[in-house]
Amino acid sequence: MSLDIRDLTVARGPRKVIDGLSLPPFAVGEFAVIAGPNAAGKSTLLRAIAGLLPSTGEIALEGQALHALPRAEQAKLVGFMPQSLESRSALTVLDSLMVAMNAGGGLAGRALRGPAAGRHALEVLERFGLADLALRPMAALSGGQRQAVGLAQAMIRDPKLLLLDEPTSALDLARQFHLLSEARKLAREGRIVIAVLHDLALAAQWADRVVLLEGGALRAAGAPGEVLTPQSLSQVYGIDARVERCSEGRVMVMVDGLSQP
Amino acid sequence: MSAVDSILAEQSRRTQRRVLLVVLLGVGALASVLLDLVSGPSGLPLEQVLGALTGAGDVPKAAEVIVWQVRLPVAVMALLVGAALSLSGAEMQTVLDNPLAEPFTLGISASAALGAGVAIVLGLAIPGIPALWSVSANAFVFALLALGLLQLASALRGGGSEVVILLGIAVNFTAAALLALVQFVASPDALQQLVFWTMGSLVNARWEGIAVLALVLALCLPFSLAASWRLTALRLGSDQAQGFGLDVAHLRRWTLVRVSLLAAASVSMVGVIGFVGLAGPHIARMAVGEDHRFLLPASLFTGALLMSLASVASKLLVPGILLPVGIVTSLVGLPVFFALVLRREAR
Repeated sequence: MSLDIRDLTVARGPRKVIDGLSLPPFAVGEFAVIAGPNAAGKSTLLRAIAGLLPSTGEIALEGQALHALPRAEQAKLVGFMPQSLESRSALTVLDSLMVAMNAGGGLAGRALRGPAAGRHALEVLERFGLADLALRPMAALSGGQRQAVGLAQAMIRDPKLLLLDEPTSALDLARQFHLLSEARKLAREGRIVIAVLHDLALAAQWADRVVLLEGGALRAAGAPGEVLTPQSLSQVYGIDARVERCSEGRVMVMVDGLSQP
Repeated sequence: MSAVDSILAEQSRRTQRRVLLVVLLGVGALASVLLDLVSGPSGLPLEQVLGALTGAGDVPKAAEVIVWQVRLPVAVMALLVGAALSLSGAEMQTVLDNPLAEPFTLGISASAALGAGVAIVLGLAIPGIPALWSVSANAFVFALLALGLLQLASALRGGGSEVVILLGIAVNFTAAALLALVQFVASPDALQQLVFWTMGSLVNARWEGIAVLALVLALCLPFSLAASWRLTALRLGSDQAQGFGLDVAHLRRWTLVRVSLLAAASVSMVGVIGFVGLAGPHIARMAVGEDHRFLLPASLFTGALLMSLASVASKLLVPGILLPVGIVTSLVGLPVFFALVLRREAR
């Protein structure tokens, strides 16, 4: 199974944020990170794949045009975790997962009503270490807890394609580690996992593949060590950076300053 | 018992409590209708009221007439109007993601009042409608025109909730300005009639009007209940809801159609009734939370209960005088609402 993106154009208002973007296919089992400076079109790309923004061009999962499918079918295949979650809701974490299961009209839903549905929701919460929060209202959660619950919501339907929009932006170091190692594990279990990350150090540490965008266009794609080079970082971000090779073929990115224009 | 089991047990306890609360509110609404039936200038004891209703026992003819032709239409109309306004308020607050939204935010009641004004003052009515119904028919048509305008504009502009709210405010002020113009040219008699209408009153309740409102409610309610999971999903944010597989724009559009039908039908029958569409859902939400499977029926019953109590109060507040019920809902209801809001903030 693979996700193919060809000749993708996404407009926001009159402006084309992404214009004719084609990417090498994303393979199953792979944890890919989309990186790039502000306004590179990272989140726009992710939201277009999730079907939250209208786009033209091809987004195909296993050769099947994703957005030609009925919305409920898409929701079975794709899980999307937004950057920030609604905070004012008095719904409990467990309620929110029940809604995630049932609102799209069916899926796991039909068979999983009542206690079975609740049990399934709790299993997902336990997997992400959130079972303690099950009966807490969403509004009473911290930013980091809410983000973790967002991942559980995206995973409740067991999607084949998991999209994470800056999943670590509100997390402390331990939770960052936990979430990214979970994300990679979820990919290894037979999914495509794509995350937008701002933090290149995290991208270098966790990604199997980095897709570097700038101005809505592809700059480089490949293993972190190939993509994150002093040259490419200077060109794309305008920074002077060192890239150190570590064990297991991983790299470490350290920023020394802004590159001279 | 494992942690999972205890959480599930607690969850089902909460569900049972919510079901119980919804049932209690329903019983309360029915009880308040009985209270409405026994209250009035000519004191009828409960046995006579029940006797007249069921046809059992020896009931004086006068009591039968009072119950069937005076009090029952008022009581049933109050029940239906309260239910319809509160249900539409609950759905509106959810789809527009604004806790202060109610049927009047979209300018529907102001438009209805303008329609009534046109009929009362200018004598312009829809051809073929009996004179008795010209005011209601005009109010209904104007309310639906406001809805059509909103739907059209939001479809052209992409239909975000801010667009709908801002347009609703614009429609509201436009209708109010035009109504002021109509009032300016009105004769003293017509002006008094119009002002009375805009205060909202149940005394003109008739069985035909009740049938129309009941029909609208019966048409909308199944769709509302069927949408309850989807409406709950909106509480988690529209991005999330869309990610769950919902067509949010579609949901928002059809919910607003239902809301507008309910509000237009209510307002055209009894005039402008404020506060019930706002407070009904809020009280219901405090009781049963945001899960719309419980919130929608709870709002329906709470609105019916509030409106019935307002109807009782309108007869009792000033002995010998029947106050317009719209004034009562505002005067009695708003302090209650303030108290609820402040208490919630303090918690």
